[in-house]
Amino acid sequence: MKGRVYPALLRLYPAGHPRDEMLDVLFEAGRPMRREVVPLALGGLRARFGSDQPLAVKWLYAARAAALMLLVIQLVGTAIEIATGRPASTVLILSLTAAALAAVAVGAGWRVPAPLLAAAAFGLGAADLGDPRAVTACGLAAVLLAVPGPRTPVRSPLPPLLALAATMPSALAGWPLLLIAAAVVVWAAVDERLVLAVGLTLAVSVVQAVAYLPGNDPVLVLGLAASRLALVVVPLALGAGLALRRSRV
Amino acid sequence: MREPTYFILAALQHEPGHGYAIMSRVAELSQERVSLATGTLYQALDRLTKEGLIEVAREEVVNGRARRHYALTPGGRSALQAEATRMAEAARVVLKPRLIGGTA
Repeated sequence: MKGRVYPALLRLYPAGHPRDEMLDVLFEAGRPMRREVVPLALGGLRARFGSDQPLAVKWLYAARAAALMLLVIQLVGTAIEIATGRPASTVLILSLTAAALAAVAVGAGWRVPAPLLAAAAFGLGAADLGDPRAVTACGLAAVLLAVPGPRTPVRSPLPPLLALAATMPSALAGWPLLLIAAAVVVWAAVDERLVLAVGLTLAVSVVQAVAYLPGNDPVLVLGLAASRLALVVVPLALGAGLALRRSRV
Repeated sequence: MREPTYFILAALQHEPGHGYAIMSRVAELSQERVSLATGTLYQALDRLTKEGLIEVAREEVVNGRARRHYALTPGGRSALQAEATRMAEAARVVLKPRLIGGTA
């Protein structure tokens, strides 16, 4: 059994890792397989997909991924609204185009055009009768992209998938959204940058709560702000805690 | 410094060692308190190499397979000494409190 399981798990490690040497140690140590399997699998996944960068760099990667998610949410959300009858003014189309180009720029690693295009999407969205999603999502994306950092976001299919699920109608979004969110939390064991990116993305909901206060009921406003703040704080605390723990020698 | 890291560096303080030797020495030095799984050990070795605390001292081929021997770098030795001194001073506060207070 060990002769099949250990070599299979060692294939998770990227080329260049001392796989043969690890296999020798696994057999030499002769421990029960249940003790070795999880650390071995996690080690392989972290070596292949994780990040051993300094804490600050991890945050910067997460900021780029969050900006990409915000742009996708703005883009797809508004496109769905237009498809279901929202009037599409020229300014709105221009705002969407700028957001799409900004998303391409983030993915391609164009450092200077990305924040400029996101800012243009923000400005045009604000001009279009103050489109709340464009103002908040593109505004926050522009701020996140303006911070100097790595060219590209975290390479993973989960942020765009999560963003797409978030834009689906609520009747359809429930389970996919929950499953992808659970996948992001589980994946934090391998790469904590994604859960940080989700926390930063959810910051938009706090901005929206503050920018578009519903009515004058202070209790309602406070409750809304507190619940949205929790949405941001929980993933950020989880990601930051894991990143801090792994940054210690 | 985390406890497994401390014992990995301590396991290499007198001579270089390969993976299994380090694992065994860590268990022995920690009186079996720290028992590293192979995956955990190699994640730590990888990280400590990148941090410049250990290095691959030599490679040999045993039964047709490459085996690396890891050694402390000067930086790793300093970090180990600093951590040992810090822990000794912290322990002294509890184990010999009267000497520190000057009332012995």
